[in-house]
Amino acid sequence: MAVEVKDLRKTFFDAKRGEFLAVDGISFNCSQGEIVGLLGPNGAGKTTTLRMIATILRPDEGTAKINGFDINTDPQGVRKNLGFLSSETGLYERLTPREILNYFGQLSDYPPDKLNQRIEDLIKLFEMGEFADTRCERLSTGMKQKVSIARAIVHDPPVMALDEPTSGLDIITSQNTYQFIRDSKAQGKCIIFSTHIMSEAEKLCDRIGIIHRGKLFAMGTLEELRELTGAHYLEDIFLAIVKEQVDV
Amino acid sequence: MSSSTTPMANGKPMSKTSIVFFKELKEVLRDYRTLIMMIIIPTLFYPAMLVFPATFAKQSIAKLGQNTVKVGIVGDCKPLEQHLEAAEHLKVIQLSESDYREKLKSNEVDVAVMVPPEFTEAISRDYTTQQDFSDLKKGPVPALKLVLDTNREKVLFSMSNVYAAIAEFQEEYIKNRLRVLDIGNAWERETKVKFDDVLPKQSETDNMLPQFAPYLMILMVLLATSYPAIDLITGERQRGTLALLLVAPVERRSIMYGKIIVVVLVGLLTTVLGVISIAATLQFGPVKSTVVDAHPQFDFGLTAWLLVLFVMMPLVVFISSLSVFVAALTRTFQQAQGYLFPLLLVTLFLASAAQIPELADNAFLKVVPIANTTLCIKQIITRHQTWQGILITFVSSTIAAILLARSAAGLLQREDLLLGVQLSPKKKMETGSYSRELVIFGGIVFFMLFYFGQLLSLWNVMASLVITQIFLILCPALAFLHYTRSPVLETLSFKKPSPRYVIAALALGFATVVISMLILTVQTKFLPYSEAYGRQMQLMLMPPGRELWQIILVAALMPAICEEIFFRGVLQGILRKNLPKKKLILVIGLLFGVFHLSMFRILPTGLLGVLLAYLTLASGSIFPSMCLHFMHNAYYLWSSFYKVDLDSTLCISLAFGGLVVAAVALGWKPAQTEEK
Repeated sequence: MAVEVKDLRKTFFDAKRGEFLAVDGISFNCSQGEIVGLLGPNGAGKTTTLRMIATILRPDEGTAKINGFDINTDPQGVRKNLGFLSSETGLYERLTPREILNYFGQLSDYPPDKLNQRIEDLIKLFEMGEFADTRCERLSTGMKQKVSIARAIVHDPPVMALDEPTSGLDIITSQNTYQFIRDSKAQGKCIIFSTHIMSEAEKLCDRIGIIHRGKLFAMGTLEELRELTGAHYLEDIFLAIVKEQVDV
Repeated sequence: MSSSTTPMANGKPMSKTSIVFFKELKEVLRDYRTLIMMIIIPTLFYPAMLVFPATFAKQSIAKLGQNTVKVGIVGDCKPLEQHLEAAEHLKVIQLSESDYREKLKSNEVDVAVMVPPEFTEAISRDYTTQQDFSDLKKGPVPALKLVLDTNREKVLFSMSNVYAAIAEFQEEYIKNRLRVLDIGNAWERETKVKFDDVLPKQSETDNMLPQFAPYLMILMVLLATSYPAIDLITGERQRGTLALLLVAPVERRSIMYGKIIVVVLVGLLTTVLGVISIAATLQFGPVKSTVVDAHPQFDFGLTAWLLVLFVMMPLVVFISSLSVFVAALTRTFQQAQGYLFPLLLVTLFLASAAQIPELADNAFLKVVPIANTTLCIKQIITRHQTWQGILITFVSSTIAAILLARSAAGLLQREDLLLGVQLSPKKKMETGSYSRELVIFGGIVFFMLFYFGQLLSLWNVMASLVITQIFLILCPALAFLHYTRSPVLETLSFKKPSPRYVIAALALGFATVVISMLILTVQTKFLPYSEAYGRQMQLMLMPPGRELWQIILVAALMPAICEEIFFRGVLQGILRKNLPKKKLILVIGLLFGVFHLSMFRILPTGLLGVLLAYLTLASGSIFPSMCLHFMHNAYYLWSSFYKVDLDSTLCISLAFGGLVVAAVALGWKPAQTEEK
């Protein structure tokens, strides 16, 4: 398994609610060449889960292994094997795409003698040639999205964690992202991605996990989920699962 | 493209810190706002600040000198009247005793010259008779008195013509006559003193420079470093690039150090440019004659500026780390700017400490960052610097800067700061994550003690001790305890102790006094007492007109309760969750030493603090340390009150006896069964 998530837990606190479990014992796997989607409304715990997998946050309990590296004991190993992309992530406005790729390539210990070639390949792959040496502050949203994706995979990681990667993007830019996800799958990468857009999950994911209030209620292929609930559309499936679980 | 070369420097792979550093440097150098703060402001703005007000003031004073001043003369002295009438820009009006105030108020005259009859009489003498001489010997000739409305600034600045005319009169009519008799100098001295008294203090604005320069320097560094610090840290967060860095295989400390080094570099460049441009302005600019040449008592030479740069170096690191620290606490640019203002206030507040003579005397000031550098720069400019002073300032600022940089570098580990993840108070207490609050709390209490405590003691020693103990030590400690919602009895170690610890505490009381005295005796050889400190201690130990029991109540019993609750109760109770035992005891001891606000007391009091912290930790109860604290202070006061010779064989034997008793009491059972 490229990714094994075991019983992750994270407690948060705010003045209104007091202590609450943002992530409450989530476990799942994802193998190479597979896309696993975490589907849930805002505040369900998707982002916190991905952040723990990406070693940005430390779990209170539980662990995850990324390509064999444990997030608790070997975060640096995890980081070398993981590409992270989120709709919230930005770019250094005063640097050019080439400089950004170079910076993250260096930080990720990509072999120095191969880094330049890798950057050239990425620039070609994402058709960034025209703006590779223009400062990011002057780029359009679509161009920036390409740079962000290229930045996430500059060190060629086997595992990708994508946190709502298309939120806030227009249809055409979103298509680029979808294409990138499909291409990565074809290359045998393991992809975990979170979304609250049902159609996106339906279209891309091999398996879908339904997350609500920090808990993973169900996980399976679309067919399996249809069988489980008797509903056809993912929206109905989601509501059926969430309603059933919350009522209980 | 050069920027995409492989990360090699001299054949070796670059460290992650330098990768971060070069990237941040590139970004900073592409930011015009940083460049303005770093280069334009120090090279143009600060010199302009020096030149424009001075030049403008000079021109405006010169212009005011052209105005005609209406001089009223009260009294009868024809020679003086004629002399003033003949002078340029003066118009003489004869006034009477009864109406001159009215005329001054209604601005009909600008200044009234009061001529006493003795003055007229004295200058009309020809000093040929013996009587003239014996009159002269009786005392000085009465001076002329000038009456004017000092609120009328224009009048003040155009008075120079009046002074000049009077001085000339003195020269012509009086001095000449006396010179004939060879006693001119005596007369001159008497009258000049009087004239100086009524001179408006024109030169004061120039004298402000040594006071003003350190502020300018510190302000310059803070303004220059705060923007890049906010840009590199808060900006990273606001633009959403921080998460990317956190998932890159880099130690979070390396990221922070890379950033801190860039900010330090910006600060250093600003300082060097600022100092060079200010020095050049003073040396070659239009203010040279009014500032540098007019004040030979100030040192604006090359060596002085090099010394200023030298003492500024660690301060730049300190302020840069401070800016980074503050930036790391903020989420948005607005928030960061909001934090900047209090930071500026605290910085200027510290800088102002060096301007208060009572505090500037305090040797402790030399180890307080910012305050010590301000004082040092002032002393360098006024030629009062000492090598020890410069060295202590440099070393202590360097240590403070390193400590601050280290703790700033650790801030990226904090999830609460990174992503707004909050911990519940219960969890915070369990995991001991109150360090930020503790630092802020400790800082506030320290400065309150430093300023209010010391100012209060100037007013009334006994009252200040009581107020300090209750309101600056006990109340803040309890308030902090309440804030953290810690379990009170457990945190404060309010527990019945095993009797052997109480016996040890009682036995150690006298011994610690003797040991403290011995340490002080040795320490004095390296660090001589300052006069101010000796005076202050004397006042504190023996306030005039008080009985011994009163002093013991206020200076032994109250500290034993209040200070113990503060240090061994709240601080130790909260910090024991974060620190291993040995470190905890050392930190509490050091803080105890430092909070006594005197460099001379850090060592002896710090060691006592270590002992008190150990007693509390070993016994699990605060009461033995309260006992020891009380006994120590009480013996100390008693021995000062009766001037007991603590070096005597008897005292040293008693102390030794106490140590033996304490050792036996503490070693009663194996130590590990007791330590919890």
